[in-house]
Amino acid sequence: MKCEICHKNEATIHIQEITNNGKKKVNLCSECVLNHKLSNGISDIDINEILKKFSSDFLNSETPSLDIPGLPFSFHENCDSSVSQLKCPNCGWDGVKLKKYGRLGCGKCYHIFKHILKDIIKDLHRDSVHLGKRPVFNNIQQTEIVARLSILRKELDEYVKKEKYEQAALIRDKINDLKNLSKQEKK
Amino acid sequence: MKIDLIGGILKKQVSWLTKQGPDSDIAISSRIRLARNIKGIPFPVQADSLQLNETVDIVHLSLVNSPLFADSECFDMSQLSQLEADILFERHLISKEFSKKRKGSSLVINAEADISLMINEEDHLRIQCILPGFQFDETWSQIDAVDTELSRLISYEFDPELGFLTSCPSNLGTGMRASVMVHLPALSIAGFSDAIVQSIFKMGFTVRGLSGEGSANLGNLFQISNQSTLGETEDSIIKRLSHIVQQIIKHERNARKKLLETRKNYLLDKIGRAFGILRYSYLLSTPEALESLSMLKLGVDMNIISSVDINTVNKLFITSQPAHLQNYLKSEMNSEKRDEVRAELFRKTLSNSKNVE
Repeated sequence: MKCEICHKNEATIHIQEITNNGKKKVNLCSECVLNHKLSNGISDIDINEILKKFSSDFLNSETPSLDIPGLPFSFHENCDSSVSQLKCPNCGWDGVKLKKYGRLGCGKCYHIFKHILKDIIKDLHRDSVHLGKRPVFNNIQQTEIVARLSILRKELDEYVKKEKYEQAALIRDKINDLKNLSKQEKK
Repeated sequence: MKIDLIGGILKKQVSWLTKQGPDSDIAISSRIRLARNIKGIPFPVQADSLQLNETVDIVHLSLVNSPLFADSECFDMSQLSQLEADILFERHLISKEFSKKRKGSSLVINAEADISLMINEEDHLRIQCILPGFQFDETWSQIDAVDTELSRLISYEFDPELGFLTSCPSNLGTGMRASVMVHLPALSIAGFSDAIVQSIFKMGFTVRGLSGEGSANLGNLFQISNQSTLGETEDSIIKRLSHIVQQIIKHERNARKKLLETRKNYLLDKIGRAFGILRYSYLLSTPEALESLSMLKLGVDMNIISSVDINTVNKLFITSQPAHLQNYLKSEMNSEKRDEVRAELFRKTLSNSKNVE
């Protein structure tokens, strides 16, 4: 299928839009999507979505080299074959990266790579069970955001009352950021 | 908390250098850092830019109302030049790794410039407290207060068995690295420094130089820190480390006493020559400057030289380093120019002092 704008390239992007007249499907090539600001039938938001997808695909296709200091420990030989197959479903960090950098991608990685890490942890530390400090409490992020929002709103009121607008603006920005954060969380 | 340009912080005194602490004739600084991560967000190495910003926001927000950070300053690392970041590193306010971070990383420094928060270093949060002299109790009590306060507002990534989860398994558990920087010129002169370094390693601790790995024992400065972070309490790690440091301080004091008793002229000659080099040179490399400065410090700490203030000497350890020199001259330099400027800095700083007494 050819692109409906240039009629030359193969259409690789298919956009379906629901209008008053029913469903409408547009088939475009990537070049035309990037080069033309389309006004007929496709809203700006769609374009943004497409561009976003493009950039993320593009980023994923590259393997950026990470600036990480050298391996802090050595791996046991017996874990060679199995490690590379593992991948953390939460963050996408995999066994290849673990072996290359000696770092983990997120908290969940500790469960995924548990059996490989067991010996390493033993080698690195005096013991393998935590005896030190514990955090005061661990609650859910969403309730935290709500709590922080209410603190910030009070703070904002105070600064406005005191006519400290510079600080108030700073707090307002933080409130906005937090609201955005909250929306993303809900998705 | 206010967002500021870096200029303010550069004018600020480096408190661990300008104040005197316990045993500060030998122990220069005590430093503790804690590694923490926020639950549910990938570690910085795997986080996208949105998640990095989210981390920065969460930490900033939890600081807004904290009295511990009432007059702190906050920097977006992407607004810092490499020179400014290097200066902060030379002042031991940030890590080498953090000095390379830009977009998505943020730095908070408290009013006294002894507590710094590195947001999105290797972990989401690296809290650091650095105080003058040998005083782990006070250093721990300060950093513990900050950490507890933050843990009320931030859900840390925590596992009951493995403790605080960190990007590198070498920081698991307490996430704590405690280190003390000691100046051991007499033990070095007596030829014991290698043996001491080896015995420290044997006891499960790490030794580094002034600027961390690779800087060897330039200027007879040694940073001793714990290696293991999991399997014992913070208190127990600090106690074991303190025990070693106390022993080393005792040995260094004895070595100084012995030098003065048995090889007085040798000692005076070494100190006098070093003072002369710093006072009258026109080209000074980093190793030569640090070696001579170490001897000058020894002279001042042993009351052999009284015409130079110890704070002046301590400050020179930092101000003679590359980024500080570049800032002093306000332009970039090659290494020969740097040696020239370094010599000038020492001549000017030490010009109003008298000779060895």
